[in-house]
This record gives sequence, structure tokens and C-alpha cells, in this order.
Amino acid sequence: MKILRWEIKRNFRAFFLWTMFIVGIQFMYFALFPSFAGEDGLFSSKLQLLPKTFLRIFGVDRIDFSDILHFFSMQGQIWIFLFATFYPTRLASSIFVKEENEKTIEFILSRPISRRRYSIEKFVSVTFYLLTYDLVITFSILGMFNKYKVKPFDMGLFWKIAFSFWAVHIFMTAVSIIFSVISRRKTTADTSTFFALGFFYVLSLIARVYEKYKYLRNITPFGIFDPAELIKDATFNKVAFLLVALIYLGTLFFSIFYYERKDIYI
Amino acid sequence: MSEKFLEILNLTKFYGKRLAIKDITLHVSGGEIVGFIGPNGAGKTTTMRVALGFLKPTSGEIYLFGERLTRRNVAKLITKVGYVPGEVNYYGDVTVQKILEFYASFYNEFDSEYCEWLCKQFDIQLNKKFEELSLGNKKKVSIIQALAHKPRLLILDEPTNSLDPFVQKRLYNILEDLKTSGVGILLSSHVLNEVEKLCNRVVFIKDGKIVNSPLFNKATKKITLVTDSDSKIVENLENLFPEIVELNSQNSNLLIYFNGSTQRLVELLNLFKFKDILIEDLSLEDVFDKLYEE
Repeated sequence: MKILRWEIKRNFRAFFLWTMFIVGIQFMYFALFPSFAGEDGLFSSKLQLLPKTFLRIFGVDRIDFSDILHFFSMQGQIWIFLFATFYPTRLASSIFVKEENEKTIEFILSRPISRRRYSIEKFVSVTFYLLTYDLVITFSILGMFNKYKVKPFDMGLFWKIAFSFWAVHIFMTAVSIIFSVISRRKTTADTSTFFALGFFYVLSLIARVYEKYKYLRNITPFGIFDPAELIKDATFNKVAFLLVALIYLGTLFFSIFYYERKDIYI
Repeated sequence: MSEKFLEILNLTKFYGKRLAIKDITLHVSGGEIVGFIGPNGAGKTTTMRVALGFLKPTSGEIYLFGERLTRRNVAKLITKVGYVPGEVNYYGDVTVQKILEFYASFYNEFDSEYCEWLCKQFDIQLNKKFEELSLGNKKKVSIIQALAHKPRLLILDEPTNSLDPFVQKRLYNILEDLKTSGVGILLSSHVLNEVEKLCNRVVFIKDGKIVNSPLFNKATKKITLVTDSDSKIVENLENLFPEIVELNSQNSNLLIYFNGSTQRLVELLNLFKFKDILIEDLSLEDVFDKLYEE
């Protein structure tokens, strides 16, 4: 558990700052919610003046501003589904390759620790922060829902939305871990992660805007777990969630397999 | 005969299509220091990194303490190995104290008192962050983390690089003591007189291959002569004296590498009328110059 403890200590500051930042942003948005809800009719009619495509991009084409879940699905898709993904993906994309990039890997690998154990502990440290991060965000948001709601909300739907952004974070973290394992340079892993994040998000936007490309939503987590769609039909794709969990677990086995055989160039 | 702590057999390593080392065979036994000499890029560090399991060999075998090194047993075998990297890069934002604590946590029977003694010997600044240390002080930390767990085999990649002469001397003393206590040491260095003083044997590497020098023998003498003698004497000299390892003549100047008894040396010198003569023990530097001059 030495590597795990070491990683948890070393990554705490970034975790704390990111969590505070995301929770702070959410707090600001939720503080605005009562005004949005109070001005529902006015705000919705103003929104209708905007182009349909624009409304679809932000998923506000069918929003009921008096419902805090709808409000959250609008702003949360940017801040929680997309922006909040930056922290776990950045953590994951650097978790292995950082040691090679900073050349500290020589220090670690000349110690009596197998690469298998090293990979597992690194993976667990990412998982620990990913889950803690999402738990803190989820319960903070839940607290804000209860504080700022103007009418009761569907708790079941809240958890479906929560599990949706968990799924997005888990999937993108898995992708980032793979980049971190296979890359030799941190910039390569970071750039690939950023590209993958952008790619999957843009796919979901295309699927949202163009009816003929709607099928693309089935190949991106931002589409499969789109909160705007969830608000509309309240169906949560449990199979996809299970698949994401399996992909994440598969990443662990891939990391072990690949890292055990990887040449460590420094 | 002492047990071979490290044995490298026919080791070849390619980086992609580029050959790094070819057919390297060497060993380090307990109680000896083996010098590993070669210019930059010759393949010393690659050899060491393969021996430590950082890189997989393209072909060839590594044995540590008689056991073949595989990815399955590397963690077990490396417990008894200490390594000083050529370029020291530890966690910059962490204090030396924390780095050493992290290092110690990997070993079950870590002797903290010995570690403290080493820190005193090398005057380590424990409370400073690693990135705040000078190159020499970074190197000292890397030496501590190679020695403090009392390894049986040391792999040292230019350990005295950037150390001041006092600390170098202290390190030499410690290495001598370790050798006496049965530790095997593979030492790569560019400081040839350091290798000459410390090492029992020297292995030369050039362009990724081990090169043997018939010259390198501590008994070999280097004789520089300025002579008026007939050039016919010089022509037959190597037939008359098989002890001559190498002979170079240029005009009236003769350079002879001679590996034989004093009596034979006197017989050789009696053949010449010389204006000037210089007889020296062959230095490692001479051998290095000869091997790498092309």
C-alpha cells in the first residue's frame, strides 16, 4: 500500500482544489435558481427567441425552469458532465506516465515492488479520488437541491442523473488511464486525453443538433448519458452503465498487462 | 570462488530498430568492484537498466544472485540491489526526509541507524525539498538510497559525478569497506583514476559491445624510448620478445607496451642505444585512449 498512500498524499491538494472549485461553481448556479424559477415564463419566452440549434446544443429546448432537475440538467451538462471530467481525466492521464516523464520511475522500480502491484496501487489511487470526487460533488449538489428547490423534485431522477455523470467520469477516466499507460511522454497522454474528451463531446453535440446523426449518441458517453434526454424520457441506460463499469475494470487488467511488459525509457 | 551476484549473458538490446547494446557478457561477484568503462552513449546505462529490469532484453539473459531475472521475480531479487542512477530525479516538491522515509517503507528490515549514519557521513540536508538541492547533494541522496538497505549488489552509474573531492573520498572508503564485507559492485565512471584505484577488474564497452584490451594488465609497462639504434632491431623485436604486447615506432621514437619480467625488460633495453627513456606503469587512461582513439 506504499504507492497508494504516497499517491493519495501527493494528489490531495489537486483533488481538494478541483472539488472546491466545482462545488463552488455549482453553489453559484444553484443560488441563481430561485430567480430563474420565479421568472419562468419570462425566461422561457426569451429563450424561444434563440435559434433552435443553439437551444439543442445546450439542451435547453425542452427545459422547465421551475424544476430544479431541469435547471441542473441544463447547466450540469457543461459543468458536471464536461468540465468536472477534467480533474479525474488529468489525474488518470498522468498517473503512470508522470513518473516516466519526471524520471522518478527509476526510484520506484529499483525498489522491491512488482510492476503488477505498482499498477494496481496506482489504479486504486485514481479510483479512490474519482469516487471521492464524485461522491462529494453528488452529495453537495443534493444538498443544494434541497436548499434551493422551489417545489419537490423526483429523487429517483436525481440519482439517474448522478449515475449518468459518474458514468461519464468513469469512462473518460478509463480512457485516460490507457493513454497514461501506453504513452512515453506526459504531453502525449494529456493531449490524447483532451482530444478524446473533445471528440466524444462533439459527437454528442452533433447527435443533438442533427437529426440524421442522432445515432452517434449511442457511441459517446455524453450521448448515452445525456441529462437532457434523461429529463425527457427518464430512462437510464443500466446496461451502458454496467458496460462502463466493466470497461473501467478492464482498464485495470490492461494496465497490469501492458505495464508489466513496458520498457521504461528514461 | 565467490558467488556471481550479477551475470549478464549475451545481452542484446534494440530501441526500436536502433541497436543499443550487442552481445554483452559480464559478471560481478561478491567482494569485487568491477569497473564499467566507456564513452557517453556506449551502452553502459542501457546495460545497467536491463540488469535492473527497467528494460526487457531483446535477447540474452540476466542472472541476479544465481536466479534468472524475469518480470515475475524482479521485485524479489531487487531487494538485495542498490542502484545509483546517472541522472538523479526524485520527487522535487518533497523533502529529503520524506523521500528517505518513503524509500525505507519498501524494506522490511530497514536499519534506520545505518541510514542516519550515512546521512551524517554525507552531510545530508534532510529538511530541504529535493528540488532545492544542488546536483552534488542530489547525488548524495541517491547514494544513501542505494546503500541504506544494505544491498549485496551495488549498481552505480557515475556515482561520483558532481560530488566534491571530500565526499568522493568518503564514498570510496565506504565502497572499499563494502567490498571487503562481500558486496559486489558494478561501477560505471568517467573518472579513470577512481576506477583504477577501486576496481578489481575493468570491462570496456564501445559502440554497445564489450571490447577486450590485451593491454589492460596491471603488470604491463609503458616504455617510451628515443633511440639511435638500427631500425632492423625494431623489426625483429616482437619475434625476440613475445612479452611485447604492442609496439609503435616513429622515426627515432619507440613506444613499447611490455608485459614480462624485469630481467627480460633489461635484456630488451640492452639492445638499444637510447638518448632518453621513460618507463611507466600502464594507466587505465592509456588503455582508454588506445581503445577509444579511433
